[in-house]
Amino acid sequence: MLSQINSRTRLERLLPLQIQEVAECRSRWAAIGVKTEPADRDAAEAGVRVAYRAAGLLPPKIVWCQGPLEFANEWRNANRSAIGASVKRDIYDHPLARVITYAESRVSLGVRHTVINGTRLPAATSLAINEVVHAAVEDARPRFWARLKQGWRIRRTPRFRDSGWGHPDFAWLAACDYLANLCGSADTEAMEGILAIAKNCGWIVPHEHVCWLGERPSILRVDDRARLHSRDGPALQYRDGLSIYMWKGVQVPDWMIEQPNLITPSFIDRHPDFLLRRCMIEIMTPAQYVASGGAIPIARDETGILWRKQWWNNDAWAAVEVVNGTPEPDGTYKHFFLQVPPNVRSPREAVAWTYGLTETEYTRLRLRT
Amino acid sequence: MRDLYAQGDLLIERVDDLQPSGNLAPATPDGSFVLAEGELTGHHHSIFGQVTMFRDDSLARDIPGGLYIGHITIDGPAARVQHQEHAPLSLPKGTYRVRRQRELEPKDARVVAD
Repeated sequence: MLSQINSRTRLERLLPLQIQEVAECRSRWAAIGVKTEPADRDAAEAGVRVAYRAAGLLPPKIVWCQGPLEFANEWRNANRSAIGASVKRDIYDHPLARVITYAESRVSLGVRHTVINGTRLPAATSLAINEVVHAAVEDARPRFWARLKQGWRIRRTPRFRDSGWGHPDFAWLAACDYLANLCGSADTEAMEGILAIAKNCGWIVPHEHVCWLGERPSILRVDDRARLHSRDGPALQYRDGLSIYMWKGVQVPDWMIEQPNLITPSFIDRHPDFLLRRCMIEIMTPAQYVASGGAIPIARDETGILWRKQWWNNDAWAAVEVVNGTPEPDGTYKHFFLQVPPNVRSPREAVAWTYGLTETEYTRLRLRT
Repeated sequence: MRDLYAQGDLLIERVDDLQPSGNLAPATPDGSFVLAEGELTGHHHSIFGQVTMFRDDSLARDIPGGLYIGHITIDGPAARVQHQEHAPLSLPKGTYRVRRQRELEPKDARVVAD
């Protein structure tokens, strides 16, 4: 049970225990955000009914989708007059805004900042999921001329982007969850509905008569910086078959991950996308790229060798090859490649950059092991 | 002159002596402090000796974001930094600032860990 403040006082700062509760709240929502189990359909549907009731709406017809592709299909074929208007504002935006407004009267700005910053989830994951889901739904929309043929009113209906909410909104929900517990809220029922939906399914598109609920992704892999990333298989996969391959937050074609042996230096050099060129070098490894003649050595000193590749469109890539200070058990020394900005001029400057130092500052190095 | 010491992807910089501030880091049961853990190998840089470790971001404003690990104060005559793949490093008494190494990646620079 979270601590609750006295109804007569205004909270000026959080106690250590409450700061710890904020961190726990963040961890709880972070764990919810990366869940890949199938949705708890009964609990989510109960949440939808509670949220609609709290907003003064009749229970909608609930339609489950396995993922964004199915959403897109449902969305494209939906009869706009039968589904009614989007009620996202009534069941989601307004109750959360009321929690914040109420909290403004009960706790100081400093406390609200502490809660909002303390519950903030890594944006890299949620933004990427948001982008991928919206792109998948947008891709499945009828093209411009088809929409034009259907008349201007179709184009004025709320878009999926405006009426759906899911993973990217969890950071905001975590803050509201904590503030509603801390300060109390007049909208207890509405919050209960929202939280039940968020905890038990992946995505929701609520309309007056129909509410679509989406399954969670079946695969969701992130790196240590919370970016969608997987070196084997898709980083994001939904149960409707949508598979997204990502390398450190950059979307890459599936073959780059599934068949990395097809990547060659000449293919990299010809590729027009500067981000994908770098991803391919990382996937094949800089050591292999250099070994197969992809880059040329431009400088050597006691810290290592600086390699550079200059591409046709004024783009360049560089890496410094360094040697471990400690020998391996067999007496050999491990070599490493560290990618650095292409404007560095010497290996020493490159290594200094990797530590956030200047070349001159790095000359103070006394010992490396 | 602020001496620098490196062990793999870790850089340790001698700084002026100062009192611990910010957040104190917890010691492991054997009394050592883990300076950095490898994300892939599970190897880690640990420091043994009469040491206090703390993290105060206000003391690292000149370090690019994400690289600062913390400060260590060595009260004994020396402390030893160990890693499974690197020879141990002996640091004399004093205060040190510890940072990790980064690498440029497709979108930006990133932290590397061995």
